Amino acid sequence: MKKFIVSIICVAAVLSGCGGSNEPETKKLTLLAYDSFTPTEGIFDEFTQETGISIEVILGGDTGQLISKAILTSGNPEGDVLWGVDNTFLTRAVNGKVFSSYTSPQTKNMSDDVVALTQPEGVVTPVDTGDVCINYDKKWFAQRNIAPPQSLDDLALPLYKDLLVVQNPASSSPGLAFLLATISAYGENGWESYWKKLRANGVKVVDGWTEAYTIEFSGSSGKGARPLVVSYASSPPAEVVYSDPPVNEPPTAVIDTTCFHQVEFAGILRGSQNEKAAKLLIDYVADTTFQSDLPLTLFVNPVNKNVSLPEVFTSFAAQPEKPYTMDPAAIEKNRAEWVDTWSSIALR
Amino acid sequence: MNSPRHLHIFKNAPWLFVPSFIFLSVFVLWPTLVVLVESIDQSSLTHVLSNSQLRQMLWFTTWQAFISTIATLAIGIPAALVLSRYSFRARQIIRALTFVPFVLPTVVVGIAFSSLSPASYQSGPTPLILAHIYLNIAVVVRVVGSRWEKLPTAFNDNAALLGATPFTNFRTITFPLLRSSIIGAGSIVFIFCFSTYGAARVLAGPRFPTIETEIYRYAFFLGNMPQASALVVWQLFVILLVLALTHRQKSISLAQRNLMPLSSERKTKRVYFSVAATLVAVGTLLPIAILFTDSLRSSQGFTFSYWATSDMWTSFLTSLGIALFAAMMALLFGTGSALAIAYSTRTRFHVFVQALTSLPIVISAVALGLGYLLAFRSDPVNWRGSLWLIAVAHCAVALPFVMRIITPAAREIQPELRENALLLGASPWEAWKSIDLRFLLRPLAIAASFAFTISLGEFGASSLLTRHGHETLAMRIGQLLSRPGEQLQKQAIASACLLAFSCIAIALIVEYAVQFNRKKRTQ
Repeated sequence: MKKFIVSIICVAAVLSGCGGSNEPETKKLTLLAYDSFTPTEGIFDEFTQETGISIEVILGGDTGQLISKAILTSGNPEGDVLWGVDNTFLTRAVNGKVFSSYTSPQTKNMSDDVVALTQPEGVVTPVDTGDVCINYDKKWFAQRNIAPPQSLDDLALPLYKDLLVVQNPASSSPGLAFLLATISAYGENGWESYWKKLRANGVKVVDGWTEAYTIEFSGSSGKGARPLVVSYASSPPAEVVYSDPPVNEPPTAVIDTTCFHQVEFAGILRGSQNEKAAKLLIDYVADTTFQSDLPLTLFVNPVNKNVSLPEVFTSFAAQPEKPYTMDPAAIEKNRAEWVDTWSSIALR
Repeated sequence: MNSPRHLHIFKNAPWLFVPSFIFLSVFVLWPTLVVLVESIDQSSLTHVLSNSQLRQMLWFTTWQAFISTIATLAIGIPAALVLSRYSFRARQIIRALTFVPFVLPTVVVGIAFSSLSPASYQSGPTPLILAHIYLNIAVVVRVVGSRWEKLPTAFNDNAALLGATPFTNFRTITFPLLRSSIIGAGSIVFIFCFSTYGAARVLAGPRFPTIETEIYRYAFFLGNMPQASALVVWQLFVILLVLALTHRQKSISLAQRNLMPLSSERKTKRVYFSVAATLVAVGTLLPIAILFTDSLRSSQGFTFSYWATSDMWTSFLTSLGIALFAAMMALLFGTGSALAIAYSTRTRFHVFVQALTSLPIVISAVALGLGYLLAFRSDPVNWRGSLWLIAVAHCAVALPFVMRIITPAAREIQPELRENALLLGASPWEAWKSIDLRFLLRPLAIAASFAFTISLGEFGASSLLTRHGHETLAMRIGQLLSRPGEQLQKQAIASACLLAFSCIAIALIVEYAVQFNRKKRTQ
């Protein structure tokens, strides 16, 4: 029994050793990000060499979790810099007083419409963009000699009955983006009847991206039955990069008239003790070194115009010409009502 | 004054409960209170009843949990009969297998279920209930089975001699003796199904939200904390009600295990039981086997590459470390609480300990995760992001199970044995060690394996904790599944298999270690 207790204490000591962070006075910044924040290892080495500041990345769940947690701990944050609030959550985060205002001078290398989203307060800095679009299973349509749909309108045609799976906008970020795309496309008065048509045409709703893409969708690793899914414009190159064995062509493609434009931002968390160093980090992630790493690790578009895209990305990721988009404040203002209305049309 | 009874070193020793009391207060009670106090308001509480969508959700959560419980009992009780009444060669293995689904991440179970029948797969209440049965059979087999294997066979034999049909036999003799354990198992299963999360998201779909998925949605997607907290309170209320209604009465204690060799039964019965045992094994293994073959197949054929990623093995080691720590803590605290109850004669104290140690089951994982975030956010208790906090959360989840395994075993130790040892000149400590501890070895081993596997599979509370690079296997599975790309999906499936195999291995090791120990003692 004594041995037993001693061994417990030993293990406790060892484990608490791992968890504690009683490092001496080297300058350290903590970057808080969503779970799928997976840049190349060592990407911050250059930053550390230049500034003497080391970076620790901590992960805090999906974007919704990240923002809710940041609001709950506003003023007493879990880190110094937050990566990954998007235009659908930005206003909520700003209203929750999550950020200490800072916009990087790097914004001079970004397009005006992206930078405009951070106004009027200028609280955060844009770091990447992406599009949520309908993806389709190329083989499925080829085998049946059916042309894949070309537009949002097409999705409601009888030819494409029972083929589409979408995420619940009440619980999923791409699901909400797709709902916003339809609201932008058909306007306040038209989107409800569009969704009635989609429902009549057998649209399937699942809770999250994972369920939709990996279980219901036929085009990726899953064995689902539906060849049309709401995912990202960059999902096809991801299928190429992570395919096994290597393939030259992705099994999926994007319908680029169905896209909603998402912009992600990074900001300094209010209450950080290292604001000066945090500003340097924001500048770094908006600069070319970090920005060129984004396409093939996070599968998003860099915002810095001085960065050129890798080939696999330019060939397979859709770059929609006119994606739908919406003002963050309008999203925050109407979200609850839109989602409720949508639920009563699409679910009940 | 020196009668042996007073020399029992742990007689009426409420101090045994002190470590658990401190642990539960700091890591369960305090965080929950912080969540509730910071965000609750009265209008959100009543909104649950006045809003028709939330009312419907509450009703769905309740009836699906009820049906799941009845169905799990209906299948679990016959399984418990076969596995705890008869001895046969594969018994240990099959019993160990039934335990695996219980700790598999529910998302993984969802994927396995949906790949069983991809074409006809439709989300809704039916697949959810089927998954609940699959996930919770282990509870019935363990709780009812451990009681059943101790029932003297002589009662039933005599009744049969006197002409009782097997049904009468069950109704008048077996059932009354098993009743308290069936109710106990049923209440645990109900609570699990009531606070279902992962399985509900994958299998029931957005048309059928449950209370836990709604708590998550209000807290994290809508950012409406008052409403989320109000739902936490409602969930607490229902679960406490169930616990109060099914509060275990004292049952007759039975010490001896009574297994019959299956070969002694009549042939028809033997065939029937063998088929039943095989079905249990196949039913448990089928989804895992599907996942396993899936993890070995790429679009070009057979491959081991998904098993050869260093990330997977790193997080596996992290998981093992955390599980070891969590299991030891849970064993320490759980055993302390169990002995404090078992050696005490004060009923009020019993109720107090049982209520407090039930807390981790009662409080939703989402609420606990939120509580850790809020309660430990500022110095000197700024522990957010610590690796050990994950282990602490796992320990909190496992503690009630450890306690529930040890308590009945400790109660069944006959005090006369200890008293005899004392009379024969043993010191109180020696007497306790040679009698009580010896009887407790088997339940301790089982409880340890239970806690260890719960920690391996825990996903709910710990996935809400912010983390510094160290990831458990269960967290990694969730993370891989949330990104596109076949390789990542397959790595997730391989990781899920690794998790399942570890659980099988642990259960088998414990079953055999315990058996070996018993053989050695009887020699």
